[in-house]
Amino acid sequence: MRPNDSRLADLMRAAQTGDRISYEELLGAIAPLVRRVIRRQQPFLSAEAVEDVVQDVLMSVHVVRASYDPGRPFTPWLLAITRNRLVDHARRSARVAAHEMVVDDLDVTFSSDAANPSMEADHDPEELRHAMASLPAGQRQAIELLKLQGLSLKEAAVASGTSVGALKVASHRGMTALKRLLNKT
Amino acid sequence: MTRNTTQFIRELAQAATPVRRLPAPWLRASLWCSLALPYLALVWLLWPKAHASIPATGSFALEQVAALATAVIAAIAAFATVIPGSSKKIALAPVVPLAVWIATVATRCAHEWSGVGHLPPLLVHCACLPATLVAGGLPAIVIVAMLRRGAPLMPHLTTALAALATAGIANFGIRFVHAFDSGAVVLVWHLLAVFGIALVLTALGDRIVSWRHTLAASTASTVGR
Repeated sequence: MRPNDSRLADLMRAAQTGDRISYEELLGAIAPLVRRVIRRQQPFLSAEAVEDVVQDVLMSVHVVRASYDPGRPFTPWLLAITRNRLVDHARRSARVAAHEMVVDDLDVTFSSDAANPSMEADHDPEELRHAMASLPAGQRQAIELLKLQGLSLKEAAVASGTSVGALKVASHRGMTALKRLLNKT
Repeated sequence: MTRNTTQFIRELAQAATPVRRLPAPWLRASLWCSLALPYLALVWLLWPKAHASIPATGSFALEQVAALATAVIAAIAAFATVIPGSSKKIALAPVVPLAVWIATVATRCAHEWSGVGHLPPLLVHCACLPATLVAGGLPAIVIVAMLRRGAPLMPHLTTALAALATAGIANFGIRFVHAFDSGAVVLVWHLLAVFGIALVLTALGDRIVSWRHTLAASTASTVGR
């Protein structure tokens, strides 16, 4: 059943005050709505890609929830974000498809120092271990899966039980924090 | 719903903290003006002036009112574009004051040309451009920072409106400094040059206001914190 707009507005009003239970109920109620819109607009998307966009939309709703005015209807606010993220996703997919090419695994690399400007060249491994240990658990896990174990985003998402979008955010934040920590020492 | 999205929702809900609701666009525009105008007053006080007075003419007053109205209305429109669900038509709102502003300057320029028969030397007045850029610097930074708190749904349009607002308010301020500049000088160094820069900024809109910035600026994190 389609959730009532005024009910969603009430939930968002509560969520803006920090009510986590209402917020979880709101996100749970809008996820199927968003999924339906995505499937209708882009029926050719795989189930996995649909979930990626749904999570992108939920993330966007999360970061701009301050922009919702409870005096106005909730659904147009949500649909504007959904349509925007859907267009962004389509644009991103087209860009990736245009630039991506499948290559065989290359097992040869250049061994000279200049071709390997890694952090290890400048920093003590112990220092790096300390810096890693000081990261929040989510960021550490994202870096371990993506950078150390070399998993793809999708594999890492399955392994960690989180979304591709969330992993990207955590990994980016983790790398930024690591750089900051290592440059401090 | 797949397990991942369910988990994701739980993580988002756990990360939910109280947020300060964005005020209405007109209130945000007022706040922006209340920061920009004292800064412009400071620029007016500190910038070397050729004349201490300002022209007491209707044309000068109309030009200033139109520039300020363009700035305020463009700022309201820019702030409205970062509210999901707002009508895109709001982007047309600054067209009328902008047309009046440009028409006032163009008319003065035409009168001066028809009177003297030639344009004044323009290159010697190129110092107007840095003055206008200094006047617009802080208002531009402030409006971009404020816009990044909204949803970057139409980055190019949002940046265009913000650039127009900044151009309007910077010109409003700097015309008190260069109060007796000829119409041609104002047209070339105050309007065309600034609008040229605004066009460049508009083209870079998705780098100035984007989901990437909004996500990065979000203090309410989801996972990984």
